[in-house]
Amino acid sequence: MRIVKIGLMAAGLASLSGCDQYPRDISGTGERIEETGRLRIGLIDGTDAVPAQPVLEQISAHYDATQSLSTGSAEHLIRDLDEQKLDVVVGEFAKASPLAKEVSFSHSIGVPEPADKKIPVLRLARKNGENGLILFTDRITTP
Amino acid sequence: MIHAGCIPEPVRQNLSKARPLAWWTLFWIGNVALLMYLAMGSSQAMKTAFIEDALSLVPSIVFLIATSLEGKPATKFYPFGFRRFNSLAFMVAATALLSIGAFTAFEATMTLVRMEHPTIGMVKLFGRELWLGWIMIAALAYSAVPPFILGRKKLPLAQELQDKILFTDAKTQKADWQTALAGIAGVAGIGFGFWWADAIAALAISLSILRDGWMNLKKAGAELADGLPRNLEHDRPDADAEHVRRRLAAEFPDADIRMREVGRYIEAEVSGVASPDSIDLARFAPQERRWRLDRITFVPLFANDRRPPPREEVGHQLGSGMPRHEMGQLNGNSVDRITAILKKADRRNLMIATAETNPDQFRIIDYFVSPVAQEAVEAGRER
Repeated sequence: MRIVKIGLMAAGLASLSGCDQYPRDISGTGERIEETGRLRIGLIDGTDAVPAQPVLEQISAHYDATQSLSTGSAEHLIRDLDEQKLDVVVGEFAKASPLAKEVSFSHSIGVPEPADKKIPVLRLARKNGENGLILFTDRITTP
Repeated sequence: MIHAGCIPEPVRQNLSKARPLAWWTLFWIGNVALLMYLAMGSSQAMKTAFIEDALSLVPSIVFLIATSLEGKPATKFYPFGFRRFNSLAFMVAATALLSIGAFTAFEATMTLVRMEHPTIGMVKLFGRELWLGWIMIAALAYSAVPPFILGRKKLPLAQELQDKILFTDAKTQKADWQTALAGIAGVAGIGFGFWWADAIAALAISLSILRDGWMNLKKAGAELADGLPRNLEHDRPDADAEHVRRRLAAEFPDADIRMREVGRYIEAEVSGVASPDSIDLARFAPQERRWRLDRITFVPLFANDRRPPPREEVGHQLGSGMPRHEMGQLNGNSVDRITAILKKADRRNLMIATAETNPDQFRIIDYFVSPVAQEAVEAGRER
């Protein structure tokens, strides 16, 4: 009986691999973007966001949403991201940044990943646990 | 009596099956723990899994150590041999199991308290971009297989050998595969957007691990403190020990019989009767596992070779069968005082005495006093 249960569990998990909605966002960022049709982007002051534009366009196309941009300091925008006032933040972050515990950084955008983890490069910051959005943006930023 | 260092043949046969299982455990779980260590990076969940795996190696390690010492002959500094290392190893194994439970419970509780939203990103494998969650699930599934098989193989051997370390080891393996399944459920739950799934599953499993660990720790403590031999699975008296006690009580009805366990072996102590010239252990041992009864010790009645007066004389001296109101004073103590002392005195070290009381009569059957107890009685003190 236990083997049957384990088999059913495995089959259930295997069936999820073909599901578009899996993994889902814990705080529902992706669903909210789809519902409102608006991708809220935070741009850290002084960041050259041009290399990130194709990535942002792919995200908005994926969710069938238009972009809305707001600018500010890194501290301010990261807080807004955590409070779900923003969906992604664009800025220059080092992989070894102290912020890495608070948010999830994408791969580097426009430049190869630097060997030195302390060098800041252009990245997307995403709210922790938004695994659907994180997986999608990881895929489109992977070199 | 089986001499220290000699392992009975049935035990030797089962140990030859159990020890390779312990080595396989070290290989497989060590292998999984090493993979976890290499893959953990900064992931707290993977660190937890690594620590749990590392801790789950402990019972197998101490089992191998204890069983290798069990067959060693007694030495000048270990005149009773090395069998009690089994009890010590049991304590270590039980502590490891309890630690796994406590650690899992702590981590799960902290995740719930902090409301951490675990992030599981992407990994590129063989040119394909995969959700890291699938890799985690595969790794956890892999890590569940060896403990599932090894634990099930160890359990019947632990019963046969009456080996509490091996039993705890099997429980640890159970904890391992259950934790891995809980981890799978947790990662799958995170995929559904349930951030608490991982922690709730781990917390539920940790309660069962904690219960097993605590029960084993209590039994290990009892064994080291010469407590009554306990059942392998439950905190109840051991059936084999009870069998021995019944047989000894039938043979020596006036004796005080005490039992203890040294590793897998039962030792009985009979006091209050003269030691027979020879005794056949097999008559008292359980039929199925004669090897369990290792020794019967007869304890001399009197310290410093103080022999008791004949029973009649004692009765005469102390008023055997006298009505309570006629007892009056005894050695300057009231009857109630003597009764209190008799009840409270340690029968082995201070006083060996049996007494009967009823509402009408106070009848002392035997009254044998060690020097210390005699002082206590004379001084009217309760020792």
